[in-house]
Amino acid sequence: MCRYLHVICAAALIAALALFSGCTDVREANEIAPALGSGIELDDHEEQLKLSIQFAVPEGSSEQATSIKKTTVMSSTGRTISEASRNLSLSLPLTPILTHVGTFIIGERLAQTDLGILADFLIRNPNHRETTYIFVSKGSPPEEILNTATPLEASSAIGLANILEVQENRNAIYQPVQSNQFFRNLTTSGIEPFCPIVSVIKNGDKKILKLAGTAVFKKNRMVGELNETESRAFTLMNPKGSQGGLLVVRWNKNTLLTIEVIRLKANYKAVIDKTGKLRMRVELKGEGNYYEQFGPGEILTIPNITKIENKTEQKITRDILQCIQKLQLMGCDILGWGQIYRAQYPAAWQVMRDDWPHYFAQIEPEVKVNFAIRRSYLSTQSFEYRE
Amino acid sequence: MRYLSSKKAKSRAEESTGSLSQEAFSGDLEQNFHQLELLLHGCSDAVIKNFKFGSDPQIRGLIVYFDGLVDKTIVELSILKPLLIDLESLDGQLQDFNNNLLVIDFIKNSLLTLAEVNTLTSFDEVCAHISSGDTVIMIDGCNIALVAGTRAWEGRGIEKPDNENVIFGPKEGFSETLRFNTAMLRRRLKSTDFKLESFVIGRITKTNVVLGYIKDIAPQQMVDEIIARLMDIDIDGILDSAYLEEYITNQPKSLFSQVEYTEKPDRVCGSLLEGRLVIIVDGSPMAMVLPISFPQYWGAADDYYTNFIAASLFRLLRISAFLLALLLPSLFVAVITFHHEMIPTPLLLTIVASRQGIPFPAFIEALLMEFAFELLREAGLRLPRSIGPAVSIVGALIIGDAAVRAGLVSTPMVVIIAFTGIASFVSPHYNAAIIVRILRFGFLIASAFLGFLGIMLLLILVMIRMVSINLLDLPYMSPLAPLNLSQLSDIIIRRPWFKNMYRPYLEGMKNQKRQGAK
Repeated sequence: MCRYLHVICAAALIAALALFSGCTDVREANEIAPALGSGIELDDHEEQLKLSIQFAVPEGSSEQATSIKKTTVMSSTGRTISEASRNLSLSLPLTPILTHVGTFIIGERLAQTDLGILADFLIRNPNHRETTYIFVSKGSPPEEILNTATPLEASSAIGLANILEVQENRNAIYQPVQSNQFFRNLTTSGIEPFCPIVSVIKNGDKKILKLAGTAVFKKNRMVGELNETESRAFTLMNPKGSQGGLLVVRWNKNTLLTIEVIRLKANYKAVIDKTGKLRMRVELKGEGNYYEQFGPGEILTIPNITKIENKTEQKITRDILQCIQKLQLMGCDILGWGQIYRAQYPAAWQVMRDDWPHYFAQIEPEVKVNFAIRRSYLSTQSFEYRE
Repeated sequence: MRYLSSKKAKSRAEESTGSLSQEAFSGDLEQNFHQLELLLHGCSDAVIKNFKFGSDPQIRGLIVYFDGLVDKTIVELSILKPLLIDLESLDGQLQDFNNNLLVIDFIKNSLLTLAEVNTLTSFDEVCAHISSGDTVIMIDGCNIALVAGTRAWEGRGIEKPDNENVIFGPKEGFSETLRFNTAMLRRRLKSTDFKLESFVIGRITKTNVVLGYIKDIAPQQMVDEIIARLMDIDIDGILDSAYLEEYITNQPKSLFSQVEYTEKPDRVCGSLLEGRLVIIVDGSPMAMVLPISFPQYWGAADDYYTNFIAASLFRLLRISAFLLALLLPSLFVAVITFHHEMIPTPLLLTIVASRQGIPFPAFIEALLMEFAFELLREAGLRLPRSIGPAVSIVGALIIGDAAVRAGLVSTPMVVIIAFTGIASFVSPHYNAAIIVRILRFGFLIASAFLGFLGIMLLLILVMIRMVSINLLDLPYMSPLAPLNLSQLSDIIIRRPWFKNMYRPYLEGMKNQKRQGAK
């Protein structure tokens, strides 16, 4: 008996494996429907939730593996997200795989009502990726956003995520917000959530998607938005440092200069002075290149460089102040200044915490920008036109 | 002959041969002749030649040998010519001896122009010697015989080993002739500390087996242990060194081989200098080096002949190839059936698209492909060389193309299996490659049932098994487990020679320092 014990054990193990295999979630690759993007919105009567999911339609064969050329969007409604999802599965021939959703779109109406409706579902659900990009749709429901094709990319969900990433590296206007950051801001005191807004616009005959601002939340509701210039200023204030992006600076009445920002780093210092007044010192230090001169005249000269730098500093200061002012009007601290106060003045923060939007609106910002021009690319002179 | 005359040659196997041959010689040549005829009855290649030599009185004698094993020129010029012709010129010498025993002493010491001449006393020894290519001389009136070393059979000669290709370093390989093989080692290790202990194993084959080691480097208790184990073997025949592996390892039932086979004398010498032992069997070009720990399978012979930086990178490449060959199909199956979230979205979409219409689950698909691959490999091995390429053409067409076109397998799976195949060929040791080939199927099954969890569980089981094996006190996973960082640097990468101060540690090794002051 003992002699064959290991054989029996091995046989039992293999049998157990074979028996348990039914319990595990085996999902063969040809029996799954990978979802690429999803969105949630209140339905027209604002009673039920409408869940829309964009699925990849695999078009290929064993012989020629072509990637996804087509997508399809399916929607269903329910009182909760799970119920909507269950209703959706009643008309799906394949197992939906939600782990590859890279774009999650919150409908404008839902965002203005209550984020708590979806926060629990998304944080609890193991199939929801923490790195999913969060958007708010404006003007159209998520279903339409998901149905609108992006040029050069078959899936609008993938396309939207790509647009966000590309503009971040090249222009740095909107900050991408991933699910984990979004919900962390939602649940942390002293900082509010924000995310980019996406809209459907007409481009000739076609409808295309465009990033159209930054949605600003207060507690669990969307209360307003930043336009493109304000969003840009908001991105410049990102303490992590922003890279890339172009700034258009007016030199004189006829001439516009474009300055390319190579790096810009923001430092914050919170101050509570003796009278109890709150002040925030924002110091930005950055470098940039002379990128384009739109207008006549020999501008790029050594004495002028300091002037160009000053103009750029003024432009950045102006934009930033405008952005801060707007946020203070809304009482939405998406900048996370509350957390800076919490770190520097823990005792005072205990007092201010419960009424932080009120205090935030009273902060007096002091913006100081130090910008230096570094290079001017291939040309060191300006064009002189012969008469 | 020197192997046969070794003291260690007395093994149990030898003692248990037939009773006829154990008899001692009688003083009568006629009787000895009949005895020999009886022993060699039916052996058509045996040659017994009677002759008379000397004068006044003429003495009868005979020589016996196996045709084909001896160099006839030596027999004629160094045995028969001195006896039959040269003796004539020493006219009347023989009458000075009143005893034929003195004659045989005279022949041995003064007449025969051979270096290797010894005396024998029994038919048993005669049989052993003539079947090894020696020539036995018997003289009337003597109860001892002379044996002359006349071995010269046709061998394969020294060729480049087929199975161990190297770019740098010596190209010669062992052949089937033990004498050539030991000579190749002796030529490289010009020291009397290099010992070659001889054994005869096999009741019928009486195969010469040589245990080589360098005294004072190889731990003495290890040598003694292997000698004891070799002496303990009682089998009718040994045809290859691999016969011995299962007798001398601690865990013969294990899949994991604890010895290394090589055809390259330089590789054997390298191992000997690290204190290991080598066993060479007559008739086999494969020398067995032991003990070996598993991580050493990652090293190749020419690592030490190449620039150490390049060799280190090659070694890392081989380690990654080992892991790929072991785990790639199972990881792929686990990912596409259980863990879709682990691969990038575009890759998932490509895989999903390519698997449209495939009738089998991914596991069955992988298993079929692996099975087909193993079939091809085995067929390619067995086929005559002239039609060997046909297999690869059929294999490439059927598996690579037709199966995909027919919609039986998906393209990514073909890529995975092909890549695994290539990775498994990287292993410089066939023994290690076999282990990987077999375990791969186990991992495939585990991944099909339990995904990464299954792979992990099996990996743990395999690890437990591997760390529990040892041969001659060398743990199988050393220097990884037990961890020895200083030695690990010559396992994961190739340490430069000037940094290689010490030999890999073996239990009981006294002389571990490799260079510098002793």
